[in-house]
Amino acid sequence: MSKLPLEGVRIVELTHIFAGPYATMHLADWGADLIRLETVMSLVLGTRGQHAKVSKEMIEQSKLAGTGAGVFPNWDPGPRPWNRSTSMTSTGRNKKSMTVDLLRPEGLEILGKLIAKSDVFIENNVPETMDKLKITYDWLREWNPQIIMVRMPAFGLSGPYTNFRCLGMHVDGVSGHSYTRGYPDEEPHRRGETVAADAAAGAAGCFAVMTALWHRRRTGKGQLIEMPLAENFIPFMAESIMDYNMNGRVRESMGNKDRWMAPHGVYPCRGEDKWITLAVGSDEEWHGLCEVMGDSELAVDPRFRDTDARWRNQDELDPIIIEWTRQQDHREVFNRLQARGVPSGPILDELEALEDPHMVDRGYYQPLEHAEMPTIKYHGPLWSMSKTPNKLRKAPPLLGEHNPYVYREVLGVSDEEYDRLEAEGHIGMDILETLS
Amino acid sequence: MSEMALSDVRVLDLTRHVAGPFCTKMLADYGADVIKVERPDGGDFTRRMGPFPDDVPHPEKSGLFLHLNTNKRGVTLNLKSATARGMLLELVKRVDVVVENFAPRVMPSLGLAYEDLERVNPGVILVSISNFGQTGPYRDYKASEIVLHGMGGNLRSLGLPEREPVKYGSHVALRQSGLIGAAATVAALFTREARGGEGEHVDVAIVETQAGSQDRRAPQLMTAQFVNQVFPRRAPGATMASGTFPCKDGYVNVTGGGNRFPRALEMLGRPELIEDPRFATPEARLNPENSEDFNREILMPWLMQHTMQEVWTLAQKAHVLSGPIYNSRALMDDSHFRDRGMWVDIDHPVAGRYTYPGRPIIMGETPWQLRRPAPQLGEHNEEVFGDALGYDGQSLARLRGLGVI
Repeated sequence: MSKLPLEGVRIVELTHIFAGPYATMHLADWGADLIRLETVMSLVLGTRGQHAKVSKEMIEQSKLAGTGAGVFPNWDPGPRPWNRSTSMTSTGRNKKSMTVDLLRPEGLEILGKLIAKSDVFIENNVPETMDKLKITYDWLREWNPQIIMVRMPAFGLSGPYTNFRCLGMHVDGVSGHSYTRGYPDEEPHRRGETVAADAAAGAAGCFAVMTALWHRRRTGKGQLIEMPLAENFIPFMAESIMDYNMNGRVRESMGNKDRWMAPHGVYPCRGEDKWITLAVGSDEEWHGLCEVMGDSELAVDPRFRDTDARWRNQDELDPIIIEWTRQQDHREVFNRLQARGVPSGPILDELEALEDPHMVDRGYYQPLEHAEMPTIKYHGPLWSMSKTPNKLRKAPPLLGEHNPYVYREVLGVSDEEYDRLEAEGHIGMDILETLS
Repeated sequence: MSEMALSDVRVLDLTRHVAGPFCTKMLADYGADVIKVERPDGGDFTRRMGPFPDDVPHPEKSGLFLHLNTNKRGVTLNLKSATARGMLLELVKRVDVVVENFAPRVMPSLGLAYEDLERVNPGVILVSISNFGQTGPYRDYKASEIVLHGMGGNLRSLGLPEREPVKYGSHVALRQSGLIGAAATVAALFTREARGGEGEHVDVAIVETQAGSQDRRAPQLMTAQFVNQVFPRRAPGATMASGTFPCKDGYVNVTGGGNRFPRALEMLGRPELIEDPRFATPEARLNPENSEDFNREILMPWLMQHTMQEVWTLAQKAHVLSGPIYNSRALMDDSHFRDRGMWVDIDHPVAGRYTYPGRPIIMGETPWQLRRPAPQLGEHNEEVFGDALGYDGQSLARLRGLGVI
């Protein structure tokens, strides 16, 4: 059994909301000493919630909406809501949190000293924010010539959109994903939003850091890496883009259909908002479906003879299947379909997913104890390694929880100095505006 | 040609379709020497999937295949033949990594389990990307993008509340798992080094990459436990100054609620509305009815008077989050991406010259490079089997005749 791949690697992050913190989540999961730069001066919107003070009425409105700024454990924001936010809960495990006010020269100096003892700096701000903070690649290199800097703005470090601010859903829109997904019979504003670009950026950010570390290990050289969310996600749209470039055709949404499979899609099951997916790609799978449906006539119906025929006649086929799926329990029928080799699966809501026997068997969801939240289950690392077992180690950090570690152990700050930095608003665990 | 980050890594690529090839594309695009192994009868299924120029199917002209397999060399091997499996094991001796995305029972059934590979090369890393992973009760279950998105991912929360959930476009979930696979591969290079050169078996379960995905599934899995309730598909238009809306020449996405709301009023030229009790407090602005009022009465009429580009620019000026809903034409026409070098023209000897999406990540010292277009079926048989394994022209011709390659 061996140590985790990034043990001994120190990474400093100035990331926000989802894409950046998700990239560093993987790095922390796989052993990096991952230090988040945070501040007690004011609440930085997003990662630690939307409001430093959360009123009862905000909670009531969130209950009405079913989601929003007020979803806290038991609908209770607690005295320090920033330690119970959704984003931090989902990306913060295995990370450390320090606070420092980077807007003051002394704060920058503290960061510089930390960079001297680190391997990677990663951020996902608009470039002008970093310029204002004076945190540039050249500045980092003055503190550490071998540093690897990863920058993840939405649209890159140059060009007319360089300082455009946006979230994952806007990147999905610009990249062409929003246009090519959703109900074909509804206009684009009636399809619901997706934020797949955030997930793609997190995975690619992790790949970029690991790859740069691999290169540095061989050559001793650090580097600047620019990974715009949009440009990372655009290759995910390759089929549409290649079709346009080959044929001048603008691809529209196919909804839940797939040209190579029929029946294919989402089918209603017994109960409220219960569904199953089917993805039948061969005659063998088709016959398996007919057998589970107990419909021997369907199996020989010439309209549905082969994949091409089923594709052409799917509007006649789908109602027949729906009539049957409506009688079925989505989780029970799935096992019967799979027993006959039919690709299918229940659409699981969050609470069902946490109990799914397969995921339970693999130990994917893991409970972690947290000082200011109930114990809940967190999703595990995104892959497994046979000789490098890996479990989640620590719940998401409280704001400033690791100030003693970073300031005293890593930076060697004296007790007097530590107290002074605390008195001056660098070190702390409470957002200052809530204390006044 | 400058140094590439993974140029000291050799990969034997047994993958097909989307998830595996996207993983090995990332490795190849950043420098790894990737040998893609295809079946001799038709090769990778994506060769048949298109899009094709003029919609005429041709195995060397599939846009999906051409994009997913840049920078790889290609050989053919019929793994049902013992001779072919012997040749494959000879190649395994010469690589650092084997990547495969078969159903978990397939590799062992071919005598190519991790233990078999380890026997001929103790340093080899086997990366397996599969639907449900190498263990567990669903291990051998069949699936596809929509099945895995529904079981692991956030499919249930996408779409309209009164209709069926509606999936991602393209093969977004599969590509995301491929990216995770690429990161896992590099991680395994580090652990191998730490173990003094001994490889291991990496298990990427696509269903887990969806369950842990930051496309909001992961946060919702946790917040569902906070309040013991599941998250509904939300009605469009019920979030304050936020959502996708029609505008003068298309559709735009705007996010102007919460603390950004005063800036949204600024953008709309209606600062006085902050006095309106329906919109005055953070609490009132969370109310879905007030949000619908605002979006219908104030936001949407304004949007209909402006183009996508106007809305986007005005919103950014006011620091309101926004973006257009581009289709592929609008995306290709956008000068920002074109001038930054997002696109690359690639010549392929059979398919011809087309514009592809280029680098996703700009590495300053070790940039993305196009070294070769996607391989033709069996294009590098002579180079790989001849140079590396010492087969001469005559024996390769015999193997071809026997259907081994």
